[in-house]
Amino acid sequence: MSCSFDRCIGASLLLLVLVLGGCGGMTDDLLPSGADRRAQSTGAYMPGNPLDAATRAARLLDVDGNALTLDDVLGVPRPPEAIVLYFTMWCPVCLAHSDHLHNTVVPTYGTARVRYFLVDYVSGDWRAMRQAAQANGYLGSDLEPVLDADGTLFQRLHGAMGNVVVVDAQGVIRFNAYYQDGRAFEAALAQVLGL
Amino acid sequence: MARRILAFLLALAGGAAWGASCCGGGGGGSLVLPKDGRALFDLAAAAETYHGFWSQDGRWVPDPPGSSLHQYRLSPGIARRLADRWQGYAVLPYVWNRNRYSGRTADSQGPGDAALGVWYETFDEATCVYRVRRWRDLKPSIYLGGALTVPTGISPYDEVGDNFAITGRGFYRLDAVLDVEKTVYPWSVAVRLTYGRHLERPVNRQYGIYVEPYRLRLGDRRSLSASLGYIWSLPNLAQLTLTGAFVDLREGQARVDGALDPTTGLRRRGTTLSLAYSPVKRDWVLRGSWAHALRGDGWGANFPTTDTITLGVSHVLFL
Repeated sequence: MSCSFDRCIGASLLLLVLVLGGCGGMTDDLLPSGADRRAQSTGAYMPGNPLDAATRAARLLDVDGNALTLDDVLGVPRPPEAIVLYFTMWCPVCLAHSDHLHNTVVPTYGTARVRYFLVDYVSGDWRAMRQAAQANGYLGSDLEPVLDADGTLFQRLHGAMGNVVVVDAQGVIRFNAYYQDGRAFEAALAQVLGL
Repeated sequence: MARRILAFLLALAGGAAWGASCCGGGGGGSLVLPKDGRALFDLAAAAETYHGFWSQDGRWVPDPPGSSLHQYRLSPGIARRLADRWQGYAVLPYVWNRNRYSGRTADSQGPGDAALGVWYETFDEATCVYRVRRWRDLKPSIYLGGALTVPTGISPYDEVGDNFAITGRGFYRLDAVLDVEKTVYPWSVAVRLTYGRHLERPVNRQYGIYVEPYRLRLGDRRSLSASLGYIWSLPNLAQLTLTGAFVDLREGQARVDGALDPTTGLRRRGTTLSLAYSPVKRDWVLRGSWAHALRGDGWGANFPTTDTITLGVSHVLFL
């Protein structure tokens, strides 16, 4: 009797694993693929597409509560040659990436041709963002924290923790992916700058 | 009878100290069957609360103002004796993420990463003693273990829209474990050493966007857990065990196409206090624990600081 009880529990557990195995694309991790499927990602946020009007007009707030848009940044007579948008939720991974950005990328590519933004998509107001930026050490740094006030950038650029976007002076998306070790991002930035 | 449940209690105390994370958690712990146990069924409910994090250089940083970040896990598990000295176990957690920021609310749920493992017992009888009379009374119980973490959770490499849906890390990991325990009633000590190696995998998608494929391997993982327990025998012959544990966990840097990723790697040091009750037959164990990451500069790196409250119940079937 007890042995069959054991078998019953074991079978239940196996069944549970198999049922869960069918959930939410989980098999992508159980059997990961290295196939190049970039052609299947066709959103307007993908590299090669220009920023759409809603994205350019998205309302951003800086650490003093001043409003700005990407149009304000790009629509001037001499815009920066590239803008970098790093999505942060002020987490350990985010800080590791932004530290790398600050300590490695900015010294290499400078601030004369590039503007670097930390896009906060979790804070409810600019004061909270300012506090978070200060706690993380970025108040007054070369990385400009901006609040994605209504979540437009997060939504339209397919933002996520650690995603980084490079946009050129013409407003064309040149890179949009997870930061990872920064190498692919840096290669894209260097290409935009003609280096 | 009293001694055979003790290894199990100490194992739980040590294992409970390692919880999950917002960057991909929900990993199941390990289960250890008492020496004369035939099977064990376990259910643990854990609530983990996030309180800031350590930066890469070890500086403690608070979470954003107005945030309230929680992860809840329900982890059913089973262990079964495979042979006189061999036992195996499986744990499959289910994870709920409840994240409140001042400007965003994000809830998600899904299976966590599962754990499968085996233990080899280097001894035929439990080594607990009431008094040390000879040198051999000091002989400890030594377990050699192997475990496999299976990426059954939802990772950044699955079909997910953003990071809030994540319940797992997306990697297989092999762990080798050395567990040494000794009880001289009413005291008990245990030390557990673990070395884990993540298996390299291809990545072609992150947060739902297909990317140029590359190969990724998370860093090797090492952990040391040391615990000290005190056992009370109650008038009704039930047993109450209070255990304190210290856990030091490190994970090396990940490799992207073979090159080290300088933004990765982690360290976490924390403590766990647990209390377990077992009635006279020792066939049930009720337990509660509090795992606390040591906040403040220098106690960790690149990882959240959390408090985890766990309540669990186990039922043991004896031989």
